[in-house]
Amino acid sequence: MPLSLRLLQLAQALLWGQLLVGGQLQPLAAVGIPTLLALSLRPSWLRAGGRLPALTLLALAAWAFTAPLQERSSWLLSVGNLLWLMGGLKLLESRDHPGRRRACLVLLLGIGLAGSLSQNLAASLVQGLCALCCVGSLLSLEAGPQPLKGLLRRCIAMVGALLPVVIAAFLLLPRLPVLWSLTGGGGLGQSGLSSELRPGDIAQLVSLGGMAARVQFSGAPPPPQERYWRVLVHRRFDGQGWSQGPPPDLASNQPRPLGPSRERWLIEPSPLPWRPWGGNGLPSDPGALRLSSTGGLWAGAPLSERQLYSVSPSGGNPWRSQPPTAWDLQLPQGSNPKLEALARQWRSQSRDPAALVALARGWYQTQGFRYSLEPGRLPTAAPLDAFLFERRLGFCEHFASSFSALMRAAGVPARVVVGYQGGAWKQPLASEPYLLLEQSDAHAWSEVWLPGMGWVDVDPTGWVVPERMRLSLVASLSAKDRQRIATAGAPGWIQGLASQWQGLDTRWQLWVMQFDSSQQQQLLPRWLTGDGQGVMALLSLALCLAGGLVLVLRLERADDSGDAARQSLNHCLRELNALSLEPSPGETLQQFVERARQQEPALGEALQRLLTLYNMYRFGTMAQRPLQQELRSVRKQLRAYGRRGTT
Amino acid sequence: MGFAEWWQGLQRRLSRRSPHLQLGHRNLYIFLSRFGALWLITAAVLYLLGTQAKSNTSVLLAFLMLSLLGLSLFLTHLNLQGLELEVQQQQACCAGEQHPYWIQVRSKTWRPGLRWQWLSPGAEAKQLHHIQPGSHRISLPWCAQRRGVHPPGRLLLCTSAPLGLFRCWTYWEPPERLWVAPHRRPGPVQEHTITDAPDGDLLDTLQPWRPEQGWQRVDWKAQARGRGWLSKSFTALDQNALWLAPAARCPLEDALEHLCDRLWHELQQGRPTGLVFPDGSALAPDTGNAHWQRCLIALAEWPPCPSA
Repeated sequence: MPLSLRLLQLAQALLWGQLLVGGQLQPLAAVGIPTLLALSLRPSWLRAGGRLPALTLLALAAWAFTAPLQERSSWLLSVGNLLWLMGGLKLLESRDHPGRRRACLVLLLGIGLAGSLSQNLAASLVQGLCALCCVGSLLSLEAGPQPLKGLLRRCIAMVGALLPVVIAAFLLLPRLPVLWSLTGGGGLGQSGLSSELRPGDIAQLVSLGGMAARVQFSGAPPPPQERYWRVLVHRRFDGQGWSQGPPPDLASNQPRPLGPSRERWLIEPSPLPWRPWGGNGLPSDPGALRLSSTGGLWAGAPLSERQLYSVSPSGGNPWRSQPPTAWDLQLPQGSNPKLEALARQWRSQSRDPAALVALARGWYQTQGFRYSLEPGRLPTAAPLDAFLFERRLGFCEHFASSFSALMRAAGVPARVVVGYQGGAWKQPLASEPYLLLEQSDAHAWSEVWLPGMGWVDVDPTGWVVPERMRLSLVASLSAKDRQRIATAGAPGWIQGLASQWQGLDTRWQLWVMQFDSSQQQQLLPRWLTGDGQGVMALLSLALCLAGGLVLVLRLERADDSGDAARQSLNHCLRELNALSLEPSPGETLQQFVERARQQEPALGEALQRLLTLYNMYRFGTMAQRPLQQELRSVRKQLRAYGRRGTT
Repeated sequence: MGFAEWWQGLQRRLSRRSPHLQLGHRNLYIFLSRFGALWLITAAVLYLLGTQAKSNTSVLLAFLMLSLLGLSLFLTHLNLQGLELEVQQQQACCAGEQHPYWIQVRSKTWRPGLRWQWLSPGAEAKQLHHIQPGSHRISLPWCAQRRGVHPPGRLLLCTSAPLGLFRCWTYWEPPERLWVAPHRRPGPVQEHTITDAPDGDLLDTLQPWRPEQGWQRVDWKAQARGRGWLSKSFTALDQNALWLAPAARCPLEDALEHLCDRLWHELQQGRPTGLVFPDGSALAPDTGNAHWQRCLIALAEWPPCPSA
């Protein structure tokens, strides 16, 4: 099987593996592509009797039938699956050079599409390797059979030499504006957050693994007890659970942020139209994110691919002083009678909201509440009563929703906030330090309206399990629950490696994948008006390019034929070429040396040495390395003679 | 004027007619190949996809493809630049048969993916995966359908290495002509053995005359017929020798084809064979490749042009 075909098959297999791990393959493509690759080992069977067109039609029909059944897929993902499948068929069909070239183009298109669906560092590396295989395949097609090592050297040198051009184009060439939105379609990801909060319905909290977000801070990160990252605010309570309530009230003219960004968020795909943030400041790009009156960052649509945004400081937090409305006191009467009775009792003791919160804190801390990821289901009738007065076992959602309901029953405006709490502070070697938020850091807490202070965060879970706030979720769990968190079981060195890898990935995301036209516009003035950094960068790129091109030219014109000894001999013969001494067709080395000695008697000794050394290697016991060294000295001698002759 | 005629005219104007050709900027032409155009379109699609789907992987891939396209322009041109072609002494051949046309190729560097093709209908292309540095003798398949002395025609040398994105080519018209003997076709020929051989005068083998051979060796009859200065050489009679002549009742071209075929068979069997032409000129019986070549030249040229 030709090397060009093998390289294309390797690229296809790598791409399939990356897509499978990334979860972008629909069942048809997941099964079809490896089947086609296996069939390509016996292509003659398929080409006979019109089996290939039949297979193509079958694949198309199967795709048309199954694509609409994929609920979470966007059309881009479906088209991608079709393209990857067709790439496999094209590879199977291609017999000659033009066919393989076209298969290579289909594969490159497939790689580009895969790149738009998964942009993490590992996926990008695999995609780059696939592209390299395609270039190698094209080189092999043109130059025919050749050693794999030489081919790889040429391929890497060619792509490597062009990297400065690619980087310069990437940084400097203006980008087309977004004319129509192509959603990534890599699925909307999974989030530890949901748009509704119904603690009674959850018997067992499924802890999702995976990353939720990475946050970089311009200064020191907030202390662990202040790491609350809000996403959603629930205002509507129906007696059993919480939901968002009225549509978000977005400020029509949002104030401009003051100064550079303080938090830089890189978040993973999420099905929610809200974005996490610390609650202080304003989004740096008000066009992309808008601040709601309840303190949420409204993006308007779910997130299908990673997003980068910043939060800058502002004069204050206007959303915290937004007065409560009837929604913040809404409570279905009689839905949880015991809860209402307890609230009435507290209210009879004090009407001060702050005092009521203190009463609640004391009550939660003395009633024997315990934290668990498997609290069991609550009854549909009066679920919060069952939690507060019978089970006393739950997780953050139980505590936050019961506390907020208690406050409302006591006449204090309250609401439930859903977001993340805590996070792991990472200081990788390859990236600036950042806070890693995992899906398992999802958390719910409450906000109450205190006159004179506005909306204040209150976390009743912290009253029951202070370790949850101080350390992490894992530290606060029982041994049984701890096994349910994926990250808890990994050995330390794996976690260390994973942390370093995440650091590299963070840098890749921030520097490359999230680089857009707005950053481009910021970069150019900085380079032009800065302290010469831009000029230095451009000069470095130009030098790299020049060096790379020289390398490519040397490799492209290098003689890959024969062994190292033959190549050393060729170098010597090339020096003689300058003296118009060239072996004639059919002339042996000995005959040529004799002829050359007659023409250039001064070179007699060097030529004789050349002949003796080469014959000793070929027919004697001389090793290759000493021969190469000796021939190098002969070559120098010949070159020196040639220079003397020309001057 | 149709496109094909215009294109042939252009090729004629672009081709260089010389025994030696060094490829450079003045005789090399380069243009985007069909695959290169598809490559460009794919890069544009990837760029659009990247900007619209906010995928920098696609944008980077598009830029890589475009820069590979730019680099290919130079590398493809360099792949032919500096290559030296020189025409070699050619051997005679028979019409309708593939025959090697020899050229000498000199290169100082390793050059991949060279394709050679004569620009005549039905000519086969020759693909060389690569040539090594140094001097090489390369045979190109060549074929003529009619006997006579033919120029080889225009040679197209092209390459699309390293990536197939550009096609760089040159046209060369080597001046070294080829002697093409008649097509080999079995049929009747006239035979003479040594017993009924023609008179001694016919046994002469004519070769170019040199002054040191003396005036007595000059073939005055040939000189009188305008065939130039030739000398007569005499060979000893071989008892096995066979003389062949065109069949009298056949049309001349058919008779020469039969003669060529029979001659080939006899020489293959190692039998000394000579030729006698209707005008009385002859080639003495002999064997070997040199004799076969002399016979082919004679068959290609006959009847000799008085002005030659």
